[in-house]
Amino acid sequence: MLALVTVPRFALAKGGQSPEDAAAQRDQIEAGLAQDPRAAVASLRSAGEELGDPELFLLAAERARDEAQSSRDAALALEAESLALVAQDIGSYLADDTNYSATDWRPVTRDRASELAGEAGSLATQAHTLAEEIEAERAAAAAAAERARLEALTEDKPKRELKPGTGLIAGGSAALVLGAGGIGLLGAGIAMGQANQREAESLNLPDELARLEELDRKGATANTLAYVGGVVAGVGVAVGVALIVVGVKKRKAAGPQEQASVHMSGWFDNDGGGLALRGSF
Amino acid sequence: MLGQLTIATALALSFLLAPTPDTDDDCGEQVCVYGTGGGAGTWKSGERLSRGKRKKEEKANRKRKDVTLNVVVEGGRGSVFVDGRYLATEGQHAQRGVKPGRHEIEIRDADQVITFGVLVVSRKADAVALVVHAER
Repeated sequence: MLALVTVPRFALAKGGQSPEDAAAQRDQIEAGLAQDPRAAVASLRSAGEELGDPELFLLAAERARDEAQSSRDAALALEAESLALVAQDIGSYLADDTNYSATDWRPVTRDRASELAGEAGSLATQAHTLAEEIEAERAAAAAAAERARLEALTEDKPKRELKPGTGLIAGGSAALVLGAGGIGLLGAGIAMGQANQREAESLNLPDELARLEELDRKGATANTLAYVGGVVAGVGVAVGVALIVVGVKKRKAAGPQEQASVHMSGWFDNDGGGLALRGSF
Repeated sequence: MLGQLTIATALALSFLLAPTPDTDDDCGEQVCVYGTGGGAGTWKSGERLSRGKRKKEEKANRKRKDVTLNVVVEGGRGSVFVDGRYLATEGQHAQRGVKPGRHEIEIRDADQVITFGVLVVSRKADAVALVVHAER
């Protein structure tokens, strides 16, 4: 950015500079500064570099620090530090008796030079701390954003909300499957009993009495299987149907979007029986 | 001003390219002097110029042509002072026209003086560059 400040030439023409001349120039420069803080900082820096005036560097550093603080601009805070360090250098140089007495270039008095070096040193430290704070804020914000991004990537897909009555219907279905198993057991027991009965009726007694006793034991076992199967089938089917009916009613009560249907069918013949269950949840 | 900038550009190029016949170098332990136009200058480390000597030099060389001076600080930070006046090390105010002869130069970082001495600028030089190695 170009400096918009015109430095008065009358003071430079003398080959030196007095504190009074420099003060008058500063007033003129400050009066012509842009409203934009960054443009003002650039103008003050340019004028400071041309005139070697530590007050202009200090002023530029203060404005840069203030703007950096409000806009949270770390680069501008570092520029403020750099400007303050130059002001400190010039102040320290002119605060030295040997240097001050040997030159005609005296933008400030020696006492002010010493004071200004201290102010500029403090400002440089402040600006440096500010830059670190802003960088830390940025790093923390970037880390938080990265965490959020990773969490979004690793987060499980939202669990599907179960429709009303799903638990009852699922439980009822399981009970029906158990009941179907019981029916199978019942059928197997009956089939085994009938087969044993047919074989027993074809035996030659009393020659095959031992075989008859064996078939009698097998028949008793087949009857036990049939009884157990019948009980399991009865309980399973009854409980299953009841749960499914309650579940379906509950879903229907929740609204038309939540319909569920279950169809059950069964069969029996000489060889056994079966149960078919079909549904949509 | 345009002439000075052209010289400064030529001087900058002389750093990047191989030494050319019209470049005169004087490189000491911490400070190197480079020049164009048939001369450069010499660096006398640790010397000072009093106010009276500065006036005398100014008077003796007032009719001679200006030589463009710029100072570069490498390996650290520091501000440059030529005859008591601040000289920027970069930007549009990083060059200054000085008369041939003796000039006191100091490079300072706050209270620490990195180096100081007298630069004797050759009458033959068009432009002189002083490179200070702050880390040495």
